[in-house]
Amino acid sequence: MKLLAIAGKDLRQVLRDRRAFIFLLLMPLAFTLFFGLAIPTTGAGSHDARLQLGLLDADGSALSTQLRRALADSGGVRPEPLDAVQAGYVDDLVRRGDYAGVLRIPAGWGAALAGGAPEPVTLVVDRSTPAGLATAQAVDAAVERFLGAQRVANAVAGATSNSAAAGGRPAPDVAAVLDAWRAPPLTLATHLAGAGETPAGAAAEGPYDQASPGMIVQFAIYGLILSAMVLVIERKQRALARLATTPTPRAVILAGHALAMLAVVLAQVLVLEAFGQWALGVNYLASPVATAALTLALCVWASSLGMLLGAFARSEEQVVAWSLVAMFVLSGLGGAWFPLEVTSATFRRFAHAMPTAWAMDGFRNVLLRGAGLAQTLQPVLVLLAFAAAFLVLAVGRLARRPD
Amino acid sequence: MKLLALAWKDLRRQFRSGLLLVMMLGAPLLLTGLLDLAFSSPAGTPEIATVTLAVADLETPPAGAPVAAGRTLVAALSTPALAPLLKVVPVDGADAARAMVARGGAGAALVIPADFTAAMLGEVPSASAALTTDPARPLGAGVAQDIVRRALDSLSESALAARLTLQRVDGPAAGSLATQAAMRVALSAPRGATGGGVVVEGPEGSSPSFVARMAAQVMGAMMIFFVFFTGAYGASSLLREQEEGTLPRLYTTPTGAATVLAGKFLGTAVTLAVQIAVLVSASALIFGIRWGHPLPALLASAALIVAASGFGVLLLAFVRTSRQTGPMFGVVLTVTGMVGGLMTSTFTNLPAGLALASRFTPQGWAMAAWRLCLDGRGVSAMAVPLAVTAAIGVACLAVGVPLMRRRFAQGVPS
Repeated sequence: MKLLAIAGKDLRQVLRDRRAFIFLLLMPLAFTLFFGLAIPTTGAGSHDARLQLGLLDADGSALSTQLRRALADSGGVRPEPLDAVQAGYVDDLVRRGDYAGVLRIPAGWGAALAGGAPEPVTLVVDRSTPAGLATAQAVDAAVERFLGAQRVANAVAGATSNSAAAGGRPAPDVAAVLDAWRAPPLTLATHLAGAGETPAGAAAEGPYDQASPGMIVQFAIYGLILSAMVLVIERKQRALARLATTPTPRAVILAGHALAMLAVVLAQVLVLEAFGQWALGVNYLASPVATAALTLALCVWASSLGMLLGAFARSEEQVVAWSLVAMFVLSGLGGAWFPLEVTSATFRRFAHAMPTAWAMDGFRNVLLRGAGLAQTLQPVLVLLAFAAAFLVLAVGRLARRPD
Repeated sequence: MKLLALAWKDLRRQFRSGLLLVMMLGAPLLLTGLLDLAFSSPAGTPEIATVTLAVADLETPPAGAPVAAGRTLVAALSTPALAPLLKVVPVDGADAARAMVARGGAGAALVIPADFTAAMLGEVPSASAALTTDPARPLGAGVAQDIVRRALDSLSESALAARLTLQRVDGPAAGSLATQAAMRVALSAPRGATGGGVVVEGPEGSSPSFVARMAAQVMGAMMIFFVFFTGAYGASSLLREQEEGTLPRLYTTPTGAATVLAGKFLGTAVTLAVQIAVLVSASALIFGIRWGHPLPALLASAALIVAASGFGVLLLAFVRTSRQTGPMFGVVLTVTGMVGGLMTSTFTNLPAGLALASRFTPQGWAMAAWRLCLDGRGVSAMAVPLAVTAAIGVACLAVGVPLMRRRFAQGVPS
């Protein structure tokens, strides 16, 4: 009962503070919505994420028109013809990022290709950027299809030119080969792993599948400011030391504070998950047991961090500063802002020294792979191990120096 | 002299606050450092992790087939040139390959069907290989898909040549001519040797490294974000002094309200100038960021100082106690910073609405000016964003200062 009384007191103190609503809910919701809107994905509900490709077609042949169509159908780029004025400052358009690249098709390109002596097209692109790389890849793949068609046309013509068996029938030209490409002999069907083996593209990563769990992890740390501050105020006012003179065991006192922190962060995470599930279409219920285990482990770890901050910070100002630093470092390194897959090898290795990276792994397992409890067990155990370590440090400090 | 003494007192107070130092200097450098660490690589371009491709080859080539298409495909995917991108792991059976992806042991699984060679030889109309990718690793999935598709296209070209030959010729020679055409495609000169293709040119004036440019943009954005916080914090010092009772005491001395306000404004402006100078210098040293030419950088700093302090003064009109400043400043500056594009400074292909919305915030205009400065542009190219940034600051001051004078002229809450 004493434990509940202490926890209840802390909870009232936290919730009476009007800032609680802002720190715990308003800010994470705003960040989630914003990043979900801003991050380009191919999933349902996102904007057209294809990269803009400026097009200067000096050829104007049927083949160059076909190339433009092939680029548009590639799914990676959105070709847009540039006007004469824009043609004058192509480098600026690419450097400023207005266009991911600009493709120049020279006059006579189609005729040269059909004649068996293909001319190159020119792509102005910054290949040191991810967008530039993706654009170069999409353009290269489309042009390669045309060169392949020309190779096929040449090969057929070469093999049959002296054959009487051809009976005067003309060899297929590039356009005819491209036509035959509509039903290629060998095709590739792509699927996403996970529940039901969804066809790729139909249910690719949604706009909030990264932003929602990422902001939950980030703001679980940020939300600790208020809870940890309660502990610091108790220490500063020597209320903790006075409480220790009562018959209430020290373990109960500390457990009461930890329980209040756990309740606050659990309520926060559950509300944000519910918002993600029903308002943003993030499938936390893909595996309810796994999500529940992960949520609980995350909250236990976050409250242990709150205890640690509350035990070591000497003033409210320090709580705010340390919470901010912890939030930036742990969420930045842990993959809460961007998937670790896109980071450097060194960063990826470093990231898994952070509990947040394990939390994100667990959430991505559930949300994207549809993983069950067995596959989230490792992240859950790692989070709990971190929590145990933090609690040992916090309790040790508070036992030695309650004020 | 009183004005300078007031400004000096505020400066000392601000630079003694650990929290303010973290917000002013630590946080922007830390955030930039984290992102720099995340994306930096020896080449200065983003690294792509090697994708493990589990391959289950289920094909049973027809008896006497001149080629085993599945084996040819696996060999094409296993070339040393592709090794940095793709690691092919043969597995027994489609289920084992897919299970490897589901466990996270492979980024993609390729299942080659039994009739693969038959389709290539034209004995069946077509065959489809299946690529199952890990949804949690979309980048690796894209890489695997692109490589496998290109290798398949190569095989399809040979098959198409054979098919089109068979459509053109009749009689007993048709088979051998079709094989000849397919061989011609397979043995055709390597890409690039016959002309055509794509000539890639970099835009003139672009910096050599994407990561360096990204670090510069993040640093610029974070500097603006936290400079606005410092501006608001500086303005709120009047409120704190009023609550602590030092402001009414100050008014018992022969010091006018105008001097007090000017002193406060000067203290904030100098703090912001120091913050910008330290961040620019430190980031140049730590991350090698080149901030452009001195004069444009100086003007961008001046415009930023006017905008940040003006916005802080305006925000102060909407709070009544210093307890309210944290949430109020936090929410308003975070939202305007987000809308202003400070959190998405390195994103490409943002929705048009977000790009437009950034033009309605002082942070968006300040970022536009600093972006041009980082690009090494001159003052004339930056004239519009510089003017708008400063004008927003002046407009905020024009509204906020009279309100402050009314509110703080007596030193006690009105």
